[in-house]
Amino acid sequence: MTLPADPSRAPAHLKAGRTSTQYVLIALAVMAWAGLLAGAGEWAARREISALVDEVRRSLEVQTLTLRGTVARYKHIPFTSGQQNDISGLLTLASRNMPAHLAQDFDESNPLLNKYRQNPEVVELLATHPLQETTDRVDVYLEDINRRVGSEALYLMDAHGWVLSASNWNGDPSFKSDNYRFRPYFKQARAGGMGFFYAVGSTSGLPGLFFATPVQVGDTVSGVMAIKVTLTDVEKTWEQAQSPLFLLDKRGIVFLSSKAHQLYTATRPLSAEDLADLNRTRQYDTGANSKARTFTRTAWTVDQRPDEVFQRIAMQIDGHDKEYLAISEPLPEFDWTLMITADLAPAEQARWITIIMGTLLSALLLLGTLLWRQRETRMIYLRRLREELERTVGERTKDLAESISFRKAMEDSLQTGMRARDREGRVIYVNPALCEITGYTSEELLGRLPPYPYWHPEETEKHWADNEAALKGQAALTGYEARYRHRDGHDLYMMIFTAPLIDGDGNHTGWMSSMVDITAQKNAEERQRQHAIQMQRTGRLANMGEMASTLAHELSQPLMALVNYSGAAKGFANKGHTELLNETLSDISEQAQRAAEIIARIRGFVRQSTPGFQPCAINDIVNNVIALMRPEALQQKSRIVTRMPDELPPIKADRVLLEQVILNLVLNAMQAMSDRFPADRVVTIETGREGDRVYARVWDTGAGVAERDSQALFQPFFTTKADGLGLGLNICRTTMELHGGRIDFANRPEGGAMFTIYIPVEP
Amino acid sequence: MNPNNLNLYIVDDDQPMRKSLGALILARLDGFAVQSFESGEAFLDNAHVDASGIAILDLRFDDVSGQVGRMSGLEVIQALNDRKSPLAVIFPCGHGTIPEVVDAMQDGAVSWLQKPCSEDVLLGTVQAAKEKAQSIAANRRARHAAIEMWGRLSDREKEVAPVIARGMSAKDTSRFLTNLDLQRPIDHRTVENHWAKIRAKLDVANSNELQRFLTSYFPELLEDQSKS
Repeated sequence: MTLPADPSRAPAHLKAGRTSTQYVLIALAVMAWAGLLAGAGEWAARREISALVDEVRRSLEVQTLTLRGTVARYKHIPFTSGQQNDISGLLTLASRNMPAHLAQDFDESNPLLNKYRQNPEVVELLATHPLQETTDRVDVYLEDINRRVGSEALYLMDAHGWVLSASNWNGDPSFKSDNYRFRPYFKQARAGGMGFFYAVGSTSGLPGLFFATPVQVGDTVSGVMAIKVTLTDVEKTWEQAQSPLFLLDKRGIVFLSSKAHQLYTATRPLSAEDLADLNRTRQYDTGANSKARTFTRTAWTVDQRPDEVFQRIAMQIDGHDKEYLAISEPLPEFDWTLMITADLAPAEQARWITIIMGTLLSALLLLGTLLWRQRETRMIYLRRLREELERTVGERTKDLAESISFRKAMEDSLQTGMRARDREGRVIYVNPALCEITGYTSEELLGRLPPYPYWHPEETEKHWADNEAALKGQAALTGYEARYRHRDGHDLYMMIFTAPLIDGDGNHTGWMSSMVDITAQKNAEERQRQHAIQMQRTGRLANMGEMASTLAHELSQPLMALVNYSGAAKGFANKGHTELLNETLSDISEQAQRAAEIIARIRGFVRQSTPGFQPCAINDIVNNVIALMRPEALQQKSRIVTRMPDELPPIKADRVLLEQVILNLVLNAMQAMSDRFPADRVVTIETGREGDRVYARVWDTGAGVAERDSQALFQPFFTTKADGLGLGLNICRTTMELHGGRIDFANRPEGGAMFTIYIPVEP
Repeated sequence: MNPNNLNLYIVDDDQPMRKSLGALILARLDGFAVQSFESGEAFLDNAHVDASGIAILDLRFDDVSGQVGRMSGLEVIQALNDRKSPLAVIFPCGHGTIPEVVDAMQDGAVSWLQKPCSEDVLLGTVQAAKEKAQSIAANRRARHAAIEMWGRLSDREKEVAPVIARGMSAKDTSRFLTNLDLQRPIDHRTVENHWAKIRAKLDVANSNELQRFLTSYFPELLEDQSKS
């Protein structure tokens, strides 16, 4: 098995040492990413800018409309108000009375000289009757209109520029008696056109928009009606705007702005001509006696990028350096240019926010990726580990399963029963063969403590002893035999081998026993033994009982026939059938003869099978019997104990018959002990001399003979055995009588039956 | 030989027994024609086993010492049973249990004779067997006669008879039979006609007698009817 030794070493790309190519790649990736971020910032900024541009454009539209609206509102006021009759009357009167020197042109090259305010001659002229009367009326009229229209001033000039009447006739300052022929609007109107001019009022010092229209008396222009409108409203709205707005005249001079410090600055260089013109028209003179002035350049830097529809303007506002986006809208009808700006800070903010957010996002992404990679690496490692483990487990499982199935097959194929027990004797394992042999299921056996169900009830003692020995480790290595009982009740003979069960730690945990079913072998042995006994009995000893049985059956036939014949004879005698009677009587004697023959056969058989009387030693006869009985004793699990003194006188006897008698007694003794524990099954044979007789005594440890049965013991056909014929003891007695001896019976006080045979000593 | 004598067969593998038994019966009983056989095979081959009579079967029924290939007494009884023999059988047996199978023999035709027994017991058993044989013969004759009489009935009468035997009126019978087979409706007057013929042919006076007749000889007909 190979496992990745260390997770940190597993993925090559996370190793400490990187190749330069990887560095380059990483650098490139970082740069690309930075570029991407910058691009995103740029995109955000542009998006913001485009929003700003839109805003500015909308603002431009609004402001343009406002301006145009303002102009449109006042444009026609001068003309309309000039239609009043008093005005033409006043103009006529004034031109008639105007002194000649006041009626000539001023030197236009000297605007300062040309300015002439509150000319005393004009004041006087206007105060003269009838002018004054008309002037007063016109003044009131103009004042009324001016108030209604909301303009700053409405005033009437004669053809030479003298203000004859003004709405601010009683104001301070008043335009009355001033001369404005130097103003372009006057000139334009005087020439018959529409005068339009923005300027700082030379009288009031307030900037305003001037409109002027010619007032015609007959066909000639005899006066000019002018109106001055301040742009205060516009200025006020501009002041509220966050970003500065600029209104530029045709020369690029800022004349209206929300930012006062930029007022009257030149956005582009002014030519000398322009400058002269400005001075002459006193367009932006802020004071009555101001000198010829120069115009400073507007304090900003303008940056026009080729791909942008707007300009970038950097300037100081309220002490801060700021950059603005500016869009200019020309107003051709006024020769103005309206410039509206928007703070570029939001765009920059958007850019940086995007970049910062992007960076943060990237960092997060990177972090996430790294974490994910790390996790992935870890997971790959774990997965490989798991797969490795699974593979190993699989292999092991397969090995185990194979070994288990191998073992199982082995166990199942075993004919030998296997049983494992723990040290207390609790059954912890049995193989199928054992179940098969004993007839119990493994469920019935597992967990059982002794006595086990298959123990033979007649050998419980031996089982306990064997079991104890086995659990003590004293069981013979060569195995021991045990008689078991199959569940269905038949007996089993087992050869049992026991070995200690040692666990993996070397502890002795119990015992493993293998059990070989030797029942068949045992049974074969048993049959062999039985056969041998049978042979001995019938062949050599001519078992009298069986012979008697056969003879009894044979005898029954002639006896039955005798009964029938005698019945028939009775009938024939009664009926007087003499012939038949005779015949029947012959049959009777024939059957009686037949019965006698059978009995003779018994005699002959007995005689034939015995070699006759001869001197012999009783101990030899007993030893012979013991030798003959050994297999039977083993089978019956009985012991035969002898007590025989060496020096006994010989007797004259038929050896075979005497052996048969003793054998019968021993057999009876063993059968009487079959309900005793094997250890208690003892047959004792004692020999000895009593006067002129030799005796042999056989006793057992059985239950003895009941008192009422003891009288009948030697009667023919008396038996206490289910399959006995009741002839054994009877024949024994006959045999003993044949030997001039006898047979006695007594119950022993210790229990058990005792038979004694007496044979006379050979004289 | 008197032809009215009852056949008596002695089957015994022991010659003196055969002969002595024959002599006894001959000397003490009248009205028997005695024949003896030494084996079951000889008996089954030569005796009139289909005629009334008595058989004393004294054959060893196990093969402990019997000759191989010879029938035991039980086998002979089985053979007689298979041939529906009307013989009354006497089965002498010794100590021990009576084989249970023999108990189930038809008509209870087998009597047991415990051996050994006195002549009187034997003769009494033979006498009883004679009566049994006669009763079996009478039963057989009656059955034969009944079958013959029944055979004279027409098919339709055979259908009508069991219904009437159950105590049904002619109308009920006609309704019952019509319901039984709608293809062959029967009118109650026709039933009356059939019933009259049945009475004549079976020699019965009323439905009770008819029922007894059928119960005795053709109980299966009554069962079939009640089932349907």
